[in-house]
Order: sequence, then C-alpha cells, then structure tokens
Amino acid sequence: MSDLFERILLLKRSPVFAEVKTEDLRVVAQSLEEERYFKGDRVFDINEYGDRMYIVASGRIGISLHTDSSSQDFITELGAGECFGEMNLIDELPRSATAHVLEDTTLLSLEKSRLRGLVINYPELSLGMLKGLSLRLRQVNQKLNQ
Amino acid sequence: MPQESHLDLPDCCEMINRITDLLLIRRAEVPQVAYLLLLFVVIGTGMAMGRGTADALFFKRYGIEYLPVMFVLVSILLSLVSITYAAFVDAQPAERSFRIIFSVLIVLLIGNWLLIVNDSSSLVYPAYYLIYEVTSELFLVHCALYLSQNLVQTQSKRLTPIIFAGYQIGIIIGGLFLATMSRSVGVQNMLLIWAFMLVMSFLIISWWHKRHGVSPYFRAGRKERSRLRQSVNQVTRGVRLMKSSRLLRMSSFALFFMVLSTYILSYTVNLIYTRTFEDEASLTAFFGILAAVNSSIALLIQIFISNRAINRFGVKRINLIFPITSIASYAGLLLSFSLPAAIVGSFNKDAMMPAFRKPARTLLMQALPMQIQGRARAMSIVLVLPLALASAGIFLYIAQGVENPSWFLVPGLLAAMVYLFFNRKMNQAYGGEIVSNLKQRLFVPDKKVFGLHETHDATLVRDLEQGVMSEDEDVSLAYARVLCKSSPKRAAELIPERMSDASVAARDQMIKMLQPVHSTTLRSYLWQGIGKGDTHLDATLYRALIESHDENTRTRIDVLLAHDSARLRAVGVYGAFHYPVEALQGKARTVWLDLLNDSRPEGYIPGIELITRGMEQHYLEEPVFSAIQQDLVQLLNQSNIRFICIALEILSNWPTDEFKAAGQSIMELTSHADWRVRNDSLKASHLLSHIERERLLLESLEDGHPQVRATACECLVATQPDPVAYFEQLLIDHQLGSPRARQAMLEYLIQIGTDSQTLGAISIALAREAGLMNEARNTLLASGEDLFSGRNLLDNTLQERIHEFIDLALLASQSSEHDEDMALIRAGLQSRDRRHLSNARELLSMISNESLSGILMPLFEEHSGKHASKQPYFRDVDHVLAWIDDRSDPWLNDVHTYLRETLTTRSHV
Repeated sequence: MSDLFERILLLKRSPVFAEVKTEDLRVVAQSLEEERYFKGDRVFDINEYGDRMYIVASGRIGISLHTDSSSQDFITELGAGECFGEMNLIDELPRSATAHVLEDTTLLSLEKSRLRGLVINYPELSLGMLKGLSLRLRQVNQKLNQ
Repeated sequence: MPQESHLDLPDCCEMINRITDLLLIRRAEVPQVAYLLLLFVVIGTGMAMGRGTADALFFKRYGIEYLPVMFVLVSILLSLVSITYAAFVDAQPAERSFRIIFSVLIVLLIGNWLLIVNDSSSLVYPAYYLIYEVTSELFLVHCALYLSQNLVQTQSKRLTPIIFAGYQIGIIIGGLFLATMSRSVGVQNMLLIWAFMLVMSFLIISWWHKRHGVSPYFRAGRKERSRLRQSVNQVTRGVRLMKSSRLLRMSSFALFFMVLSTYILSYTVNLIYTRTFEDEASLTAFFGILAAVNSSIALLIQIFISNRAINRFGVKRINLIFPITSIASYAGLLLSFSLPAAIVGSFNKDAMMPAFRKPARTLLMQALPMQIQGRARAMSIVLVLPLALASAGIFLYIAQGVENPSWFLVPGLLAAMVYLFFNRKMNQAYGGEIVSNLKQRLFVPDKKVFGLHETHDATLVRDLEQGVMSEDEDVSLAYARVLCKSSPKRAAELIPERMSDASVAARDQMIKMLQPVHSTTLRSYLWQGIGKGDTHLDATLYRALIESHDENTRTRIDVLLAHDSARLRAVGVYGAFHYPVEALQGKARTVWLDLLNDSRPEGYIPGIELITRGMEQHYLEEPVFSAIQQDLVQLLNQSNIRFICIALEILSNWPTDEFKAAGQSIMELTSHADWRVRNDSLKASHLLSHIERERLLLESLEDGHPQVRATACECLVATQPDPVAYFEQLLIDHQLGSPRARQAMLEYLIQIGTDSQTLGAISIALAREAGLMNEARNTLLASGEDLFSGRNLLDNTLQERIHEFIDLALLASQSSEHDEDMALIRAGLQSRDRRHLSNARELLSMISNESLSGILMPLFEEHSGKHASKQPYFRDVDHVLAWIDDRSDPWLNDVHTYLRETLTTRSHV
C-alpha cells in the first residue's frame, strides 16, 4: 500500500498530474509500470515516436536536444520524483529530446492507451490534467511576457 | 489553501515576525512591503516640504485672497497635465511613469528656487503653488495605479493602508523638519530639500525594478499613432465607460462633491491660519507641526485601525467614514469660526482622508477591470477633479468678499452631504462591478450550452460536418452522434457519404445512429449496402429498413426467419412483430425460442438482444420468459461488456424483485473495471436484498465515475419513502461520504427542487466541515513536525477536501442566493488567477447569507499561521488523526492509515 501512496506523491510532482486530485491519482498510480535501466542506456531517442511518460523513481536522467542522439550535451538532468516525456500522453508528435541514463535508474512509466482507458472510466482525471496543462501554459506565457 | 506554511526566521528576527503578524503582512511579502514603505516615506517627506512651503509662501508673499483664482488655475493646469499623463500611463509600467514625473519635478523645483532666490518675479509663488497642487493630485492617482500593478485585491485590502502609512511617516518627517528648520534653513530653501527627496525616490524605484523586473500586473493598453489623440480618447473612453459602469459613474460624482467640499474647507481653514500667524516662517512652522501631528494620528489609525476595520466591517462601510467626518467638520466651523475648529477641519482632511477614504476608494476602484482602471483614473483627474476645483474656485471667488463665513460654509456642508449620498451609491455598485468583471473572464455554463444538441447554429453545424468527415473514425463517430441529434436531416445526407469509405464496424455504428431518421434517400442507401459487408452489417441494415417501415423489406421477413445467420433470423423475428406481419408471428416465436435455447453465445445473444430492442412487450410471455433466464445468467458471466450490459438492461426492468440466480453476479459486477457495467448493475440492484442493496448503493456513491454516482443516488431514492429527509440526514447528521458522494446527493436534491431552507442547512453543515478540515490542517502544520511522505499526502488531501467542501457549501446555497452570482463565486474560487480568486472572495463576503460567509471567509484569511477560531476544536495532533479516522471518507481513511504506517516506520528507525 505504501508503494502506491509513494507513487501518488511522485505523480503529484509532475506538471501533468499536479492538479489531479490525489484520490483520482490512485488508479493512475496502479497503472504505472516499473522499468529498470543501466548507466549508458537511452530511454528514447530524439524524433522517435513514443507512447508513454516516465517518472524517475531512483537514479538520474540527462535530457539532450542534440540531433545526434548519442551526444552527451545535456540541457537538464532529472532526479527522483521528476518526470519527462509527458507530452506523448497527449499528442502524436515525435520525441523532442533524447533521454540518457546517467546512472542505474528505475523509472515508472505510464502508457498512453492505459491512460486513455483510465480517463474513460474516471473522467475527472482529464479535468485535472487539463487544469495542469492550462497552468503550465499560463506560466510559460508569464515568462515570455517578462 | 487558507493558511500557508510560514518561513522560519532566526530568533533575532522574532520582533519583525511579531510586527508583521500584527500588521497582517505575510512573510513572503515583507521585502516588497519594506520597499513600498521606504518609497512612500521618501515621497511623503518631499510632499510635506512642498505643501508647507507652497502654502506659506503663497499666502504670505502673494495673498490668500488669490486662492480661489489658484483653484481655477489648478483645475486648468490639472486637465492639461492629466491629458499628458493619460497619454502614457496605460502604455508603460507605472514605475517608468514615476521616473518621468520625478525628473520633470526636480527640474521645475530647482528652477523655481533660482527664481525665488533672485527675486525675479512675484508670479513665482503662484507658480510654485501650482506645481505643488498638480503634483499632489498626480501622485495621489499614480501611487494608487502603481500599487494596483504590484498587488492583487486581497493583498491591497491588507497592505494598502500600511503602505499609505509610509506616506504619512514621510509627511511627519517632513513636517517636523519644517517645524524645526524653517527659520534656520529658510522657507524657500526647502524647495531644494524637496528636490533631493525626489532624486532619492527616483533611485529607490529604479533599484527595485532593476532587481524584480516590470510591475507584475501591468497590462499595456493598445498602441495608437497620436499619443495626444490617444490621451483624449482615453478620457472620452473613460466618459463612455461611465455610461456602462455604474461604479465608475457613482465614484465620479462622489469625487466631484468630495473635492468641492474639501476645497471649500481647505480655503476656510487656511483663511483662519493666515489671519492667525503673522509671518511666513511661523506659518510654515505651524504647517509643519500640523502636518506632523495630523500625519502621526493618521499613521496610527492606518496601522492599527484601517486595515482591521476594512477586514472586519468591509470596505463599503469604511467608505462612509470620511463623508461623515467632513460633515462634522463643517458643523464645527459653523458653530465656531476659530483656530480650534480649523485645526479639526485640517485633521479631517489630513488624517481621516488618508486613513479611510483613500484605501477604501482604491479598493473599490480595483473592482473595475485592470485595463480600464488607468482610463478611469485619467478621466477622474482630467475631467472630474478639475471641474470640481474650478467650481470651488469660482464659488469662493464670489463668496469670499462676504464677511459672514456661513456664505461658503453652508454650501460646503451641502456638498459634503451629497458626497455621502454618492458614496452610498458607489457601495451599491461595487458588488455589481465585481460580478460583471468575473462574468467577462470566467466561463460559467448556462442551460443554453447544454442544449447544444438542439442547435440550429449554422457555424456549429458546419464544424460538426467537418468533424464527421474526419479520417479518424473515432472522431468521425463522435461528431456524427452530435450531428444526428442537432441536425438529423443534415446527418441523413452526410453520414451515408462518410460511410462509403468507413470500416464495417464504423458503418454499423453510423447506421444505428441514423435509425431514428426516416428518409427515402437513406433507405435507398441502406438497400445498396446489403451484401457488401458481413452478416452483422446486413442485420443492422435490415433492422434500419424495418424501423423505417420500408415495404420492400416486409416481403423479406420470411426469408430472414429461415436464414443461416442467427443475427438475421433475430431481425426477421423483430420484423414479424414490428410491421406487423401476423401470418409470420407464430413462426417468429418459434425461431425466437430456438435462438434463446441455443447453447452457443452466437445463437442466444441475438435472441436476448431482441428484448431490449423492440420486443419488450413480448418477452414476458411463456415459454420465452423462462427461456431467457438461463441466457441472462450466462450473459452476466461473459467477458464482452456489451453483452453484460444487455443482460443488465433487461434485469433492470425485470418484472419481479426476485432472480436469485442473477443476484451474485450483479453483486460482483458492481465492482467491474468498466464504469458502464457498474452503472447498469446498480440499476439491476433491486434484485438484491434490501440490506445488500442499500450497502452497495452507499458504497457506489464513492465511485470514480460521476454517472455511476448519479445512478447510485437515483436507485437510493427509489428505496426510500422520503428521499429528501433521507439525504438530509446523511448529509447533516451522519456527514456521510467523501465530497463526491455528498455532491451526488446534493445535486439530486437541487435537481428535484428541494426547499431552500433544507439546502441552506446542508450548506452550513458543509461549510462547517470545511472549517474543521482547515483547523485540522492548521493543527498539523502548527505541530512543527516536518512533512514526511505520510504527512505530505495527508496535507495535500486535506487541502483538496477543504476546497471541495467550500464548493459544495456554495453549491447548496446556489438555489437560495442569486444563482448567477454564486456560480461566479464558485468559478472564481476554482480559478488559479489571483485576481479572479480575489474578486470571488470579495463577492462571497457580500452574499446575503451572512452565516455562510461568516464560516467561509475566515478560511481565506491570510493570517501567517494563527488559528482563525478563538476556541480550537482540536487539542493536539492525535485528536486530529482520531477525528480523520472517524470520517466516513474512504480515501481520507486510506491516507490516514498510510500516515500511521509511515509514523510507525519512522519510530522504528
């Protein structure tokens, strides 16, 4: 049970799920799959088509925008609790970055089709996600205005 | 939510903490408040210098008899300067405008000083007087604009009086300086001191915005080519806005009469002072002392009384104080035209106005949309103020020749009374302005939105048509469903076109959508489709033709009844009874029974489906009725959702309350992963025992899908002789369920038109629950323990629950209050925009249900860590956790259990 609640707290930190109520996140948390990666792996490459988002349970991920997916030029590094690849839950576009595994890492992944099923059965999930996306858009607009 | 965690500061800052708590300043606001205070202190110091010296020099070196003329000149100059001001005020952030104003003033002051020192012309004194008067009015307006671009409504309420207190401190410092140094420094040299203060202000504001960027709530107005035309347009727009905005209109009238009464009072008291003090130095010193004393009292009022009074009594009541004290000042002068009465009059103008009138007016005007506040202010100082000043000047010019002061005191008193009248009107318009503001910015759906399926809107139909023709079949089907409801005729023309390249499954669904539509075009299309897909599609096509009473299909019934495909045989059965074809009904019954007795699903399912699709009146006859029972139990155990739902649909209309064989399956299906199965199984729950049923339905009120919760509610209603009393008991006495469960019950009560007294009681119960949740959360936060995962999750959950209960309390109140306003409050409170949130809270404070607002408003108060209630409900953290455990809220209980587990783990570690 505690693992489930820990996952809920991790999801709450993600911008996509930050505005979803904790009790609705329970079903999302149950749908997360654990994936293990070793140092040097790549979770996905830039321009690849993807269908899931990831949350770092432990370890570190480096995000690179370089067109050469083997490049180690990172724009940011993500640690435990941080998420990436979340836009692929919603859109059909290819990955905009490469995710490099910087140390042995455990990721929790959520597949798009599973989320779709959850949204159909728990429609209030989608309301929370929309709020989260809207908030993110506002924050970006504010930064641009500054 | 209501109270955020406060920063922990070192012990040496304990005094600062206490001061900020006393002044209702949140910890995160301290740097900004400190900056604004410093800025306003420096500005205030300079202004005190200016006022004392301008008045003294003018009265003594030029003559007070010219004061009415100066009023008229000030009005003209104010208009011209204001038009220039309005030209750029909306186009750039307020801090930039401040810098420009400071720079111009510095140059003018130094120039004036040089002219005075060189004794060039006596006109320098009226000129200096004009500079001061225009500056003071401009600063008044611009300071308010600057604050509105840097603070939101709820911050303004608390902080504006404190920030304006900084201005008062400046006036005190300046006044004391004048009082002590006028003789030694020289009255005219005070101009240089004022210029120095302006330089300091310039530097302070530049430093802050270099570090923190542009004012956060600045919104640029639209650019136009000619600034002057734009400026004039601002004023004309402001005038036009007066026609549409009642708040602006009333505040403009109030301002006019306030200025009239205040300037008549000002002339009167200055006349008394000029006659009393012989030379300019003593007059300047007196002005200094007066400014210092009045400002000190004003400061004490602003710090300890103003913001608390606004929070306690509301801004509308505080808005009435200054007009009343103005009336009292006139009464005093009428009774005794002497120095003490004049001092009281000055006190009213210099202490009561900044302490009460300014903050109240600033707050009330913030109800206007941001982008028009600048125009409204520009209009005030370009038109209203000058008009009032000129009127005062002309009146006093005529009246001053008369010996009896009553000639100008009585009209002044009348002006003050009219001012009070318009302030009351302004109060009335305030709430309406907030409502209008929120309506423009928030989406609150009304019944028209939900009637989209009946729309004749051509644009909408066009959009739907585009959606139907989408290549994505899921999208196409979704739009097709809506088009069929909103424009069936157009659907019958367009959907067959889309079907031509759709998959078999999509075509099948589209035909079913079109079945209620009877059209010749559609029939010919349907005939063309037969044999071009699979038997499933053919069955759908034939069924659609039968439903449209196609005569050609009638002749095919016999053939269908003998077909190899069970699905087509089922359609044949349907056709025999639907037309009807009496000659074939006997055969149809036999075929139907054969289908039902078929052990294979592909056999009995088409037979069962007939019950829900056209044969409802025939299945109760034996032997069909006995035959279907076994089939239904088998269907309930199928994995296909559609089949399960078919069986449940039949069971939900079962003619008796007994069907033991299906009971266990129905129980299990109420926890199925698919919401449709859970929903339909509840509808069949009348086949369970009463106790089982009630338990199941109450549990289903907590379902994750809103439709399931609504169905659970409807089914509960069917079990109760008095559903309203039942739900009232659950909601008030037992406080049963999570907010979602309670929302389902509440929505039912609202839908059936429950009386407002019952809903009002429910509203109060829900508001109290929110209050207790808030107190529980505060108790946990105040315990000082760090937020480990269990506490973190509980804190998150409690915050969510507080929001939800507040929303439910307002929903329950919606039927008794003005519906639209309550809907706006709810939408505003859910908004993430601080201005909408602030406006919504303001509106909530004005609702007629004072019991409800009395419980809810403290939940929004931004105290830094203090409990809102005087007698805390919870003794300690254990009491809170026991109370949470006692809630009949499954999720909250789970979180509590998790917290206990993490606490146990931590204690072992």
